[in-house]
Amino acid sequence: MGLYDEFRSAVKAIEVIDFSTCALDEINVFETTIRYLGGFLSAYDLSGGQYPALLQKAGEMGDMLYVAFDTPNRMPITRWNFKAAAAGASQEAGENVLVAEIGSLTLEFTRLSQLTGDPRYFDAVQRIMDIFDAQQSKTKLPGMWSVVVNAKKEDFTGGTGFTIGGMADSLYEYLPKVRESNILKARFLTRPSNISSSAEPPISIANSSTTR
Amino acid sequence: MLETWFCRNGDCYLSTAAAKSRAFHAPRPFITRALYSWSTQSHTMMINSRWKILLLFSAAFILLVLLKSPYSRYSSQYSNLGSRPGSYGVFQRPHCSSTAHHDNTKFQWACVPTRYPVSRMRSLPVAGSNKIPRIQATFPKESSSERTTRLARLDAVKGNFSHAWEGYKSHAWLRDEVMPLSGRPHDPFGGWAASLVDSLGWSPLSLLGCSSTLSNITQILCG
Repeated sequence: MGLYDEFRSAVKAIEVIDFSTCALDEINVFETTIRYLGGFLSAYDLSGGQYPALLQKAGEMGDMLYVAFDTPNRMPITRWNFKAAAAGASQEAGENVLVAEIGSLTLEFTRLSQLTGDPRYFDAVQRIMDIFDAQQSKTKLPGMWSVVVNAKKEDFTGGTGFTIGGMADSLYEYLPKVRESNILKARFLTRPSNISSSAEPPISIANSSTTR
Repeated sequence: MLETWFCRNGDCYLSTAAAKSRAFHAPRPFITRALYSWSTQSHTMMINSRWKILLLFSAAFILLVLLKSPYSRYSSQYSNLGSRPGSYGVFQRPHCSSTAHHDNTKFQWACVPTRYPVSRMRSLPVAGSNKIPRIQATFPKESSSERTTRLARLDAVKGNFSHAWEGYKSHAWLRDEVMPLSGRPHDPFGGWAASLVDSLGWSPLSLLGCSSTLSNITQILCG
């Protein structure tokens, strides 16, 4: 459409968004990730990285969401009391969380790590995927994961309801997308100063070791 | 002071200015290095305005050369994705002071203390060299009537987009959503302008158009 001015004014407008206040007491970490973090990152990438404000906002959003992972086992809280967390309250992951909400954070967090060179976001979501990986064949329908999983106890095998529809679909959607995004990392990665990859042997997701 | 992560053999370490300057001196072409430091407004290197002008012209020249390079269509799209350091920004994390918590300084999420820190951070997987295949359909040559139909549909999409965009701008700007009947704003996603951010994510395609030279990724998505 060629609405350059619209796009520029929209980018200008997002600079004033303040993530220290919120219209809700509890936010949905998954919804926030896919709408805001995903929105900032894809706008940044699709416009060729010409608007640093988009990456800045993505980073600010990432730093907010990263606090939702500050639990004893580093599993995120999916329905998150934003204000208590900001005040430094102790928090732990839920025992009944929707599988899509905990399993569909990887694309945005991985891309944020790729663009900022800060591995924390990737590390945060990879811990979740390790559990999916380890327990995939131990569920009541081996190969798939139930709609509800236990993040607090890191038990993704207890549930009896399965679907590829709502509440689970984006988990299965993200798996191949994240794989592709890691394959493409070398071409997309734009900050060579942060990753001393020349000295690094190739590591696949599946082979990287889990140590907390 | 900027935080910088270094990753080696799957472990990542947090370093600050010293590490940053080390990374800064990694062997890279001079012009890239200078551009990088200029674009990040480095605290460690000052460049006067004459240099800035020279660099600007050099950058424009290099960009021109890159755009004209006679690579095949797809290989150039993919290989150029990460090769324009001057055009990419840097995420500036706020400086957190331990004493500033109760001062008048603005609340920053990056400064919330971590209760359960990660002791061993894992780095991103290092990419393989696999190429992704083209997934878009190859369309046959269209007849003039097909073209008329397609353009009419395109106009309908544009009309709907403009209607929604103008409605959001005039009734719910910087709010999450505009309610379609009452035209009132509605904030179900925290009130951080969800519709604006969400549509920014796909709108480079619709706002700027497929002929845009802004992004190689955009060109790939347009097929």
